[in-house]
Amino acid sequence: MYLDPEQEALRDEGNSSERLAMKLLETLGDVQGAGRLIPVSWAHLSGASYLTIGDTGLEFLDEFCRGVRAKIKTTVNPIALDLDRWREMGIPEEYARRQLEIVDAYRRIGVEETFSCTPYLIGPPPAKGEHIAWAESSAVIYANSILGARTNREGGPSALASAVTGFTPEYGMHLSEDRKSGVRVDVKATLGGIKHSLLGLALGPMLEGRIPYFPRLPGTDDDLKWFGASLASACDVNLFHIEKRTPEWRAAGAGRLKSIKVTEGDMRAAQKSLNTGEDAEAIGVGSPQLSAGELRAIARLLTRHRPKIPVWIFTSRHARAEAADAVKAIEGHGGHVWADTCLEVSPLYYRFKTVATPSGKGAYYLPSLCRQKVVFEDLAKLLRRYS
Amino acid sequence: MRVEAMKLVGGRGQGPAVVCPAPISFLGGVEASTGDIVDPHSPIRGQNVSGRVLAFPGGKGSTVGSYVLYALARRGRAPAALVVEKADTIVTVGAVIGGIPAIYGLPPDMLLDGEWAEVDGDKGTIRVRDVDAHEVVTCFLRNRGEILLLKRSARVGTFKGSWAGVSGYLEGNEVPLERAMQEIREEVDERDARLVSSGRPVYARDRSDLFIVHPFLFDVKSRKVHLDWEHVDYRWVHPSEIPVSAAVPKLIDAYASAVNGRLARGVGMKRGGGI
Repeated sequence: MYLDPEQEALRDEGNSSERLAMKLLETLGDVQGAGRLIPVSWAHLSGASYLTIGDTGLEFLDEFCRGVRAKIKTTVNPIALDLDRWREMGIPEEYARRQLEIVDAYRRIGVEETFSCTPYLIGPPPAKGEHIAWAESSAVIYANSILGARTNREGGPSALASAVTGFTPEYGMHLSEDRKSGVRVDVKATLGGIKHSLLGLALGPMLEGRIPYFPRLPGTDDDLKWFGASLASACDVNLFHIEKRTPEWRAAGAGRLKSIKVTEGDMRAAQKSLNTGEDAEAIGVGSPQLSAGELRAIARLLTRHRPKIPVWIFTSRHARAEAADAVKAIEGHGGHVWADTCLEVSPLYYRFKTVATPSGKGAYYLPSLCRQKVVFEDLAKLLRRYS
Repeated sequence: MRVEAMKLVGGRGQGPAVVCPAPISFLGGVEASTGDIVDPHSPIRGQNVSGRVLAFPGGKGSTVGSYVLYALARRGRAPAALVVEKADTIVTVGAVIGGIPAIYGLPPDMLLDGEWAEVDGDKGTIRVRDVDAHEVVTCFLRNRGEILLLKRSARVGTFKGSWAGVSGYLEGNEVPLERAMQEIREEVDERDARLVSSGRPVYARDRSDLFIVHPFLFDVKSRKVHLDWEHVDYRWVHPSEIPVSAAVPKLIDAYASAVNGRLARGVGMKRGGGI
């Protein structure tokens, strides 16, 4: 891979973290067949929760994040706890201490303390055609598909390397020819509620790496957030196109594509396969974190149903402030609205063995990440069932 | 022998080989403080990777596994080098941040468990003493969907009595396709072959010999076969009937590699020798 003189200087004469970061980007680029490193304007880092990265991750970050600063806008994924209210969440003292050490490491390099998996909802989102380096699969697919920005699905370390250097290897989602669709998808089902998540889960294994093109896929940006998060959980695809809806649909090249279809039956099967529990001890809503609009909708739902089990809702600090009235209403009805963390990166297993959730991504990861059983169902139905 | 692979992370490392035929989940599968393989499902459970040349197909499971390689390196418990078939993100990131010499593109079963291996990450090579590497070609001739297999005679040097494709050793600085054409001429007297595709090399280890097999698929118009002294029998079989135990090692892998390989355009014996 070609490095320009500035990049070579950073690799050979930067401080130890910059040299390591350049080495990492160069190696990943070589393996992927990238021709060069290109500038990126925004890095989004995953691997911030102590639950997921543990002591070995903390050890790496603690060493790497010394004497180095982020050169571009850098945001961070959710951590394991609400920074203001972790005691209330029931997080053990020692666990919190280690989580706070991770937060300190990121603070040292000068990140924006978003602790959110929806960075596109905080401040101005990236523009169409903008090259960025994001980790967090649900944000990656949203940025590529809904916003038309360009990012591969980075891992925590490679996004961190982009943050401190300002570069990423040019391959995959950064290249127009790799963003064309490879299969046309006809949705033979009605959508609404949990159905966008189910569509993503059912479709993922059918795609075999091809980028899907939908002649029709109704839904709000929030609905497509749930669809994308589930799809990215179930396969490695990082982009989808919807006719007359997403910014690149005309360039997607949907002319002579093979068609596949997703039916109600496929979606029911996806739901059934992730339903591993029966009696939930709590309802967990999030993954991805809820938008301000979704917080308001839940506040309305809770005026009709009052579940007898705890309702934990995950959002960003930003959305919690924006929808302060709704948060007040939810908490008035007995629900909890946590910020900075999310459903499957928070150690819920300290409190609950079986969790009910409407999140496809949550249902997909809770059993492995948190060793929990899951009741996977539409939110309105869950609130009714547990009232 | 010294075999060329792809460079992943620079530096040199040597030690006894630990050969793992299945992908490794580093998070939860490898104890970061000791280097012990603790994954109950791993075929090398109970072995220790510290100071060894670890040969495996790739990583699996959590991407946090990269940090486990880093943690092993920090504690001086890392493998001496990695020989990985597929350079996935988990292994690539882990090898870079751990500074562990690594090469990729070679299957783990090219090494035998416990033998001494020397990896040079700067050159992208691996060396094993007392093992001889041989470059060979294997050509699959196809007619009406069936593949020609030849039974090796008792007079050949290796794999007597085994079924094989049309094969032979590379000589001097020959390119594999040249040798492939030559073998077709010599062994089956078949002058009407058209190259369909060529595959990535397949590595077949047999005791102290390593065969680097370059596979080719040809379409032929005639089923006439003239056996020479190297073969005693032939048959045309459907690809699903390619034998395993009665064949030379990795014959099926070589066929799969040829079929899934790079498509050829306009290479045939008739067109001016075609090479």
